[in-house]
Amino acid sequence: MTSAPRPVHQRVIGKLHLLLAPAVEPPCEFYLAPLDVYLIHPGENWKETRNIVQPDLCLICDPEKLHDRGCIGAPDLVVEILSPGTAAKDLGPKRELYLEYGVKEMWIVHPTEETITIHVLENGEFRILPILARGQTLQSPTFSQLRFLVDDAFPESAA
Amino acid sequence: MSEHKDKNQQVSEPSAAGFYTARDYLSWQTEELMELIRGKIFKMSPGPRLTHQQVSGKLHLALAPKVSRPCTLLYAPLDVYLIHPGENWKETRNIVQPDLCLICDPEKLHDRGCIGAPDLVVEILSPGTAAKDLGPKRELYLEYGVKEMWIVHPTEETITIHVLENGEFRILPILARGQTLQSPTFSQLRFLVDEAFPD
Repeated sequence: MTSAPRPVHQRVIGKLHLLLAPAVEPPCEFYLAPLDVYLIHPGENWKETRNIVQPDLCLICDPEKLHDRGCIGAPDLVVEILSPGTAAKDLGPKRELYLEYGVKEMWIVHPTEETITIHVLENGEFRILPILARGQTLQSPTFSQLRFLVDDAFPESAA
Repeated sequence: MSEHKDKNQQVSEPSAAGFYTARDYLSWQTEELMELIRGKIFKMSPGPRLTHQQVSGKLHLALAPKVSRPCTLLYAPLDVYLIHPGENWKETRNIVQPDLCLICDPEKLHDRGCIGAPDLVVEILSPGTAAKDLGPKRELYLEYGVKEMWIVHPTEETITIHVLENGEFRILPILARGQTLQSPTFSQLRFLVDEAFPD
């Protein structure tokens, strides 16, 4: 990892966590970075994986995946908050991994422009839903309990 | 605001509560840049424009050499009067100013701006404008048949292509530095995403 994320990045993670965590119930739970996610297909040995990522937030609904070390296997949903330095990685190789390992939904957050783009796994591809901005409601297509006003994910307007 | 002599007695200036058409828009004397969306005024948001302008400039430089007749690439501010074929442009309630637009029908080019939908529009988001660009403006572009809409997030340096298909915008995987943008509709529009963003 390079230098620490900027304040806006962290404020948005914080706000999203506060919105999302109460919306889910066991066995589902939201985890904040840094949580190591060892990406494996069922049956593979996690110690052999070459793919370990740290999503900004992730939703894990299978308690079997929870391990001292982190999450073994793909989360059900991941949230990535972009920064200028990480967009290429998040939208390139990391996105490919999430697709390959069957993450059901990936949310891409652009924190400065305050938009959220939902990618939902369908037929082995991510279908991208219309980009959401303030004033709109985010409704997860996969997880009906995840629903909130986009404004709530972003800091109060300072400027 | 306006200290000139009124040529027409009843020239009024726009109000946020008004419901206007192009005729009204043309009569205003204000220097402020604004858009008209379904009859309502949307002022251009103030605030930092440096990155926005750097990106719009670089995109212009990346695209312009790739555009040839009959297409024209135009930079904001250009008034785009959105009409369906056959409608009277002076009656429209929809006048927008995309950051960049590609117009391939020379008949649409008019002194006043572009009459009819551009073939492609580029919108560079800022925190103050994302809601408008992704909400009512996007709906207008869809309704008036813009073939491609590119949404640029200038801080995170991503570009998201929306291509018109069966009356909806299909959204292509978001592009970032290191990737190549290839317009699905306009084969000549192809460049490395890095070129759109400051070094």
